[in-house]
Amino acid sequence: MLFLNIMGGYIIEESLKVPKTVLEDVWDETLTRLKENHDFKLEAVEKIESIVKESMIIPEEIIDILKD
Amino acid sequence: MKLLELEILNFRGIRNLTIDPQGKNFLIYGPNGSGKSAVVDALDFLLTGQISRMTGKGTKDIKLKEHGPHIDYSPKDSCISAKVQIHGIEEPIRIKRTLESPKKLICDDSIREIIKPVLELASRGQHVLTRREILNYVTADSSTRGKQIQTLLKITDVEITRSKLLKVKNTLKSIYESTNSSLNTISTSINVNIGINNFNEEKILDFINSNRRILDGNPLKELSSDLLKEGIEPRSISSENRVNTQLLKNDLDKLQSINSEDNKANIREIDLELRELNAKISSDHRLVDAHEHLKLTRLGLNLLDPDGGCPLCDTPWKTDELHEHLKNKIELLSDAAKDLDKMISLSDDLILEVNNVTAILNEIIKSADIIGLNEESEVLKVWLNNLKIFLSVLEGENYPDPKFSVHMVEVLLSPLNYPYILNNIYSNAIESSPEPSKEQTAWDNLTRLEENLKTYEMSVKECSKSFKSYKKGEILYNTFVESKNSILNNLYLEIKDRFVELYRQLHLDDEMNFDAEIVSEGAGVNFKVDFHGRCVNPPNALHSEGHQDSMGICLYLALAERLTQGFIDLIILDDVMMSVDAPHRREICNLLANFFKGRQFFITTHDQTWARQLQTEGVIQSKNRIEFSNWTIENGPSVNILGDIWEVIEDDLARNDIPSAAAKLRRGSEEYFSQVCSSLHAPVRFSFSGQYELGDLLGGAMSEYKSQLKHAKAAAQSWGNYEELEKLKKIEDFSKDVFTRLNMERWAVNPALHYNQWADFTSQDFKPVVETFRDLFSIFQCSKCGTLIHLVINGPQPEAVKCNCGNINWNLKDK
Repeated sequence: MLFLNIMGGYIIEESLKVPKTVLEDVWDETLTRLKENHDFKLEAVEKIESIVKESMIIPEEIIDILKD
Repeated sequence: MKLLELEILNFRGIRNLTIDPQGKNFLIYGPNGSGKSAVVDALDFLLTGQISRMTGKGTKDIKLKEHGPHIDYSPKDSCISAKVQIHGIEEPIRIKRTLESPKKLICDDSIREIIKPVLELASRGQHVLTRREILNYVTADSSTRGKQIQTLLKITDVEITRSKLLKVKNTLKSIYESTNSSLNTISTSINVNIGINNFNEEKILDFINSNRRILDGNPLKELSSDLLKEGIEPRSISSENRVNTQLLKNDLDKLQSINSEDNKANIREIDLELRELNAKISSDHRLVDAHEHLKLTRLGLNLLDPDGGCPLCDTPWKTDELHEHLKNKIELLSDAAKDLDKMISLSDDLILEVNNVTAILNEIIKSADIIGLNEESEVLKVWLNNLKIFLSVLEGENYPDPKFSVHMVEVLLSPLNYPYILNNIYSNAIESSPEPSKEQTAWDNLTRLEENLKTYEMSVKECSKSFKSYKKGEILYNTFVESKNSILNNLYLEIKDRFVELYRQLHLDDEMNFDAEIVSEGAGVNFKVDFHGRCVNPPNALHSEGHQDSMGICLYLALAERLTQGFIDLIILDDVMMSVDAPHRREICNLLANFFKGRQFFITTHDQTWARQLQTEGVIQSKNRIEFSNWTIENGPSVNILGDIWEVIEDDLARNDIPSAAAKLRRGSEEYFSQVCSSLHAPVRFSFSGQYELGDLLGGAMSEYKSQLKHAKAAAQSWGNYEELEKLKKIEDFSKDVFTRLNMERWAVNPALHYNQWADFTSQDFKPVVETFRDLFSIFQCSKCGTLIHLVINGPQPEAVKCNCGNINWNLKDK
């Protein structure tokens, strides 16, 4: 359902937001698993997370994060 | 989202086109090159701001602003606008995009946020299936089918990401291997300096403690460069120009021992054996091939993607299958392996010799520099440099190198003229530096080791760090692959049942028990299908191209339905029908009409039969079908709007344009009754040209109708179904009346009738003709679902006459 608010714009319900792509789902699961992996610092996982949210990954950027 | 109206202005091959689907299925029929795909491009552009066909591989020089507008117009004159219906909003909304500002969707600000998810989903392209994708899927061989399925399902970005993460892992592995090699080099230097063969912490500590003891230091229990001089002091005043002649003598002695005849003979033997092996292999191309294969196979095994994919060409393999395959290949090459391993061992021996000389030379050069023997230092540096070049040749793939003959190697490792230079350095050192005390030598030993140990410790840290990075790269890659398999398998599981259901529906006659397996495996998809309950194989193993075609369509439809649910109801099928035969196309129509309620199909095709079937099977209403023809650069396609025939004829009558109404009635009737004859399998006199007169078609259709109605009555009688018999009699009475009227009126649509003769007719004269044909059409069509009646044949005899919804269902089988 959509509701018209007093400013004339529509309020979008969660169910009407665009579903994730298959790649986004795969990254979500990957990052969740990595957060539970003690070999990975949370900071590194968060950096990877911010990269994958923006665009396709660039291997060199990921290498730099993993080198830290 | 459903499409209500679409207007295209000066875009690609179209000058000006307005269509009016009103949220219903829509068909554009026309020959190749008539501009059908330009309409699909326009929809694509409207929703995404780009034209998919103009992006990607092979489209480098194609620019949206340059090649998007009609060739005679500029981007500012080129725009697409539409009226669409969005879920959750009652009022339709208008959206527009121009080629001048392709990134900006022009719409009311209040709906901008609402349409955002629709546009985002559209950018994934999952609502469009093109002929090219189906073609690639059907023609793919077993090694690329997995990738083509991913392309068909528009999930190639997952595979691209996996491949990039594999690159991350392998790069980090190379970095680790390089740091490990540096660690080995510095370890060799330490070994040479303290006179041991293998790096051993205990022996190094013994060496340190024996020197510390001389300096009254406590023994160390831990090997650390920071602790090496802890608690001890230098025993003489340090001088910048002082050389420890004792240590220099030790270095020269070590070099001399390398230069000994025994060692020279040993090095010569190693080098000759290495060369002989190389010569043996080089002289026989089969051995060269075997070695090259072995090296590549070993490398492949080392770099093997744990998920099974080939690291060289990314071809997906079953998990562990490539590993086994490579291991088997290596076993087959066992003779070559013996030679190769021997060569590696001999080469390592030579590398060790070079590293030993290098380590000693470094120390001697330092001494020469301290006492200011620049000329000697430079000569030694040239030697050192040559050794480094030789080392790189040995570590590379090109040994023996013409630059390094047997004699040259001997000279390089034990040069003839260097004793003079070395003696000169030593004698100058003796002159310039006092003879060191035992304590001074101990201190200098520790100083030299301290420096090496610092480098060693740094290398250990680097190596450990790079190993951790490599392992993290491996974990990241493996985790991604596991997640990918888990997510894709869930998705495949969800769509598999729907895929099987749709495919069975298409092939009810021959594959009612069809089943399939879709599993994410390696870099691709393991897609196998059942073949008549006999075996399970990849789709291209036993199924015909037509069957594979319909599999591709069903797979796509099942996935598109799952991924666009609730946002884009519009599914675009751009000329996708190819090798599917006519009966199965009918089933595809049935599928689109009955299995995708609430979806709007936008279909283009160059295939007339398919276009007709879409209409007769009720997928497309006649007013939602247009025909493109006679495309020209200046004007684009000619558009024949094949709307509701009765509406357009009424319009003509209202204008008293009888000739036009008669022509439309004749043409529409020809079209309609060719479909009726096809549906009823009616006998029509064969025409080689494929052109049939209305008289031939009407005769065939009416005679078949009467014949099947007679059979239906007889069958109802035999079953004692009097209610059905009464119903059929009423149908018969009505049809008899229509056929009688038709015989009286059909002259009016005779093509031989001269144009001038219409001058005497009025609308009132022609109206009964139209009424008769309208009733005639209704006889062959279900009043409920609008589809044509068709003959159901199962076995030698027809079984029934039915419409798609079952409202008309005449049993033809007697008791």
